[in-house]
Amino acid sequence: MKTDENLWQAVEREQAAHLEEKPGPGANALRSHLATRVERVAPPRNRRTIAMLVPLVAAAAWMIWYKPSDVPRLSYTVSEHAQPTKAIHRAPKDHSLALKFSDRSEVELSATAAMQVESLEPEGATIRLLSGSLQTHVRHQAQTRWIVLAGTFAIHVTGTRFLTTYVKSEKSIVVDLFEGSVRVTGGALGEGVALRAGQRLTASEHSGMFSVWPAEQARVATVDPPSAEPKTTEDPKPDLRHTVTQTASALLEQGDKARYEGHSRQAQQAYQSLLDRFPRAPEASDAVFALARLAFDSGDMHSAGVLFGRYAANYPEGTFHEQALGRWLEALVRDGEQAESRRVARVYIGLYPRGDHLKVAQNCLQPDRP
Amino acid sequence: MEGLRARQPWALDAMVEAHGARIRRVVLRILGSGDPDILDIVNETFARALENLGSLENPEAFGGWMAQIAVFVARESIRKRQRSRSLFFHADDVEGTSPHASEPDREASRCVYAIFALMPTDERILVALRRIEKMSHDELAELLQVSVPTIRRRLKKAESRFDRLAQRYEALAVWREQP
Repeated sequence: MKTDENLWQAVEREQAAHLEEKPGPGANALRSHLATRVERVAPPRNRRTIAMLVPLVAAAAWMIWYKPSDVPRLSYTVSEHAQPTKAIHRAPKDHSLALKFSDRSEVELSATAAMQVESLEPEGATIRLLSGSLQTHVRHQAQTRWIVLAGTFAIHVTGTRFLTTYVKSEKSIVVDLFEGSVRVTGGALGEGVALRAGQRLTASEHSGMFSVWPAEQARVATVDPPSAEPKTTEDPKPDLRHTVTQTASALLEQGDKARYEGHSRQAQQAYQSLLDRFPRAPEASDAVFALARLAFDSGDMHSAGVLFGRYAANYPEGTFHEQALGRWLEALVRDGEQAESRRVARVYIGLYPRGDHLKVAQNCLQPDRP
Repeated sequence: MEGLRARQPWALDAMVEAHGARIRRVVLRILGSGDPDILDIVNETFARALENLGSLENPEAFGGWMAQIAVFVARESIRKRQRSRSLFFHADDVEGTSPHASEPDREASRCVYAIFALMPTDERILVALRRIEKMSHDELAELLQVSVPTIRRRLKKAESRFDRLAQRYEALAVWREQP
């Protein structure tokens, strides 16, 4: 049913009242805004001091970063043949491709995967994973600086062994860290997420979602790394879309079965695998909700809040929206997040005035609530 | 333009005088009166316009160009909040609506912006500017730098999403078209 035009007129009237009562933008406010922005760059009264400091800082930086010209940049070989920078390497369909670097670091592209060596420095290399999986083993030295780029994500490495999978069509990455530590930045990760050995990170540019999972699941990944594209072994010319749906629904079914049988860890793995491999499949919303319930049932209110909130935000038309919003509210209350729970309570009451969690929502908004 | 480039006080006054009301209205339509950052976003729009004066090819299009910047800055602000999750429902604070408006109008406004918070950012911008600011398809096409047929197609999709979400609000029942 369509919304009446009068609704928009009501909003317009409300905003007209707002425009009338609140002062509009003025040149003075703009000047102070401009001044604040300028100060953010360089406070005028400090400019002289800064001007004096610049040469000193530059000299210090030169002393720290200067490398004698005889320090060689890394070089690398493929099948013992030297390769130039900027070269793109693609592994054949039936086997992997190894690249060996002069610092004894190694990277191995899985079958059909592609990468480019963007730059080579004395301390390391910058590699761009274009598609598929890349196993990286960086040798740690005094000043190791390796970066693996995938889409808008960047993995900063000092010395470690890890597997990166980039699904180009989904613009998502999976990082399984086996040894050492790395920091992953880019996409929705902001300033970065630090990973420890045994952890798996999944992140998607499309949805802006990311998650870090504990050691047990990452170890499973070493046995069965996530495929870059859905596997299609049975039919030589499969209908890809059908295969995706089938596999996503199979994973959902697997997760549900494990959950009903009380095997919550296996259920969690199946749901997470679904989200890693098919983040845009119709089953993804059910997997998020199921993961949220698992977290809630295990008493992990923080994770439950994040996951129910993710469902509420990403699937406003989803079957479980009311329950997700309500459980999000419960998780926030139990987690002591009062300000957030009040906001969610208001939305809950607006959307579901007869919902199952109405009392919880009303309690949140009680004025005498601490 | 020369005055603005030199940041002459009289030129800033003239710019705010000539374009302030419209820019404020565009930002208000997108964010709703419950948003406490409206004036900041308006000022940021002016600041970015001043910084980028060099890229303005046709000085006569200054007003439209400013509106484009305003939409861009408002969109940036919404997305930034969505990324920080806690402000996902930012715009629905009932306290933020005008106390001088009637209660049904405030309720309507609150519901509309709560629904907007559940919509993709580009869709909410389109619906807000079309339905509240009453921009024509041509104006929207120019503002958003896409063709008129694209605007029509996107608007249809966005309005249909809005209507679906609006079904859930009992408070909006009085505003529904009768069959």
